[in-house]
Amino acid sequence: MNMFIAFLLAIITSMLVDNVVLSRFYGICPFLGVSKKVKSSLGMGVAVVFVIILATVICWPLYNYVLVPAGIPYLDTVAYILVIASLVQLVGLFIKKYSPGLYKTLGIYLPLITTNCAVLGVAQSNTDQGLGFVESLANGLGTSVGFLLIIVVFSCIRVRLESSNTPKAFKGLPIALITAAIMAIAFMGLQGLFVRG
Amino acid sequence: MSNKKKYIMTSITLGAIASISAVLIALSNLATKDKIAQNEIDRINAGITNIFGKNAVISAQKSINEYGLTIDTSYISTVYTVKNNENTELGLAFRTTGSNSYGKISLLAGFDKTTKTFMKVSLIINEQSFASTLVDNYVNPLNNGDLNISDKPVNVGATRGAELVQKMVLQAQDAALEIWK
Amino acid sequence: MEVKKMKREKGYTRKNFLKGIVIENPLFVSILGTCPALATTKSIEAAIGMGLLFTIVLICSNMLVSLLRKLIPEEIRTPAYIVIIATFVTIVKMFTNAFLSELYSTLGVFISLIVVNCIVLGRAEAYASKNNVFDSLIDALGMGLGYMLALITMAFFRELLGLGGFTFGKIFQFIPLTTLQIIPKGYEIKMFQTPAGAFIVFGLILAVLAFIKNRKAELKANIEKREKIRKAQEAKEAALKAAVNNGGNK
Repeated sequence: MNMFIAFLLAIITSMLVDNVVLSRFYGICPFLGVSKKVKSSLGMGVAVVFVIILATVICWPLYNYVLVPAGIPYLDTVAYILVIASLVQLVGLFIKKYSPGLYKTLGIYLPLITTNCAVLGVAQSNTDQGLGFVESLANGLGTSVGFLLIIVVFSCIRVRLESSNTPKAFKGLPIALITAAIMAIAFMGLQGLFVRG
Repeated sequence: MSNKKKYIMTSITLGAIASISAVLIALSNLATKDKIAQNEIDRINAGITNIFGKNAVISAQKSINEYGLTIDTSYISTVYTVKNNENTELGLAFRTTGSNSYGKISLLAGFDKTTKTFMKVSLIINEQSFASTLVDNYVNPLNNGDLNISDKPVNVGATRGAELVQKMVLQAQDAALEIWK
Repeated sequence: MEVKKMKREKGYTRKNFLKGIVIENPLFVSILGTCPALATTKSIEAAIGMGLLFTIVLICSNMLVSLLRKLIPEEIRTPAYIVIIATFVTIVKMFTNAFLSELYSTLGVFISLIVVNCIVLGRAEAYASKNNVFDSLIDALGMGLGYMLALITMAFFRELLGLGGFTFGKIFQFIPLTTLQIIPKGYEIKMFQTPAGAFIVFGLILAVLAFIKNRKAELKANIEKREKIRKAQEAKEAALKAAVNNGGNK
């Protein structure tokens, strides 16, 4: 029971306290690029959750049971990015088969998950910090769900912004960034919430 | 026939690129690993000087397990015995590493032998998201004596990082007292 | 089969180099590589360091991809480019850890994240795979310099407003530690050092650039409008003149 609560806490802290996008700056490219429509943001967020969980589950054992014993820990970046690229291909094929509608909505954004800083960033920082497997999983889950949360909230705000009267120079990306700044300030208030470790 | 040939060509090319890259990386590793190890040693020596003063030198270095302590020493990795240039033992420095949701912290906590008290903290790795707030608002006042190690670190701005530092230092303090019993 | 040799227009190299700095600036025009741009611009030194490492990786990867462009089969293009880029990033990471360890601990995981920086992969696929080594080198130099200048611009505002001045020598330790305090301590807006400040500075810079672009388009539209009115006026006068002439001849 204790471990379950610790796991849950770890997820919530990665999600809210040190939010992946607004505090650690992972995943900004899709955050700014995909978030114009709520449906595509939701789809993108869920796909990222999937990919990050799978990537953590594969990369952590790969590092600790293959690379380190073999004495080549420095090949971690190359190995991780190859794993992530293949995972994205596989997840794409999976989505294409079981939900062609979602596949069409995501369109070009699916291969873009490979270049999402969040995926490689989480995998790399898990092993850089020397976390255990359960902690890495919690970190990955929290990061990806946090990403999903932020991107959906942001897209809802952006949809409203589209129909409001912004100054011409701010239309599109600039006002979106100012909005993100206000969100970041709001999330700063969650800093003292609670923390694992 | 052409399809099979294409697959073979593809795999050969990929294999060639992968092996060349592995060789290049291994070569760079050979070229840099000594310098990286030396950097680490320099950082620790700088930390020891920071805590104990200019004439301090590491005379012995042991893993915490060699002391066989019964208390919890999960954060501690190495214990350094520090002497000055007249060969009197000045105290012990503990290398402790821990991480919370904001990142990793690794520090040296120094304890004076004669007074059996906490001296100073020297940060070696500070990967916290709010690293500078932690240093300015907690570590520096702690080292200057404005803050006591047993005080609750609330008005810090990097509260969680400060709590982690406090936990690690207090654990090291318990270990020091155990060793000097 | 005749192989057509494309004639190089004069000044191609110069245009190739300059386009990465202004017209196609990767950060402010193409909005690529934003993750490091927000995370590593807390100080100008960090921005310069990040820009340098990025440029080195970009140059090496562009040149190697261009060298191998005829040998890499079409299907495995992307994984092959990724392996090449990841190799250079790992090598750069190791050398930075050894010789510039302050920079390594400041940038942290963002050095590894150069692998997934859209700019590097993008240039490899869009340019280096289709042009020769020299052109790819110039392209990489231009893009890298443009990205570094963009990073320095963001860091300039974040450090000036967030800390009140500039500090040099913290990361590049061969420079003596100097601090230029421009805004007196206590009057700086610390928020600019936080993530929120990064978003604001980025958004405002983009807004200013959009404003300039809109003004240019407006002025151009005004000139064209005036041209149109003038031409219509002239046509009217000419028609009037012709009518008068015809009337006179009658």
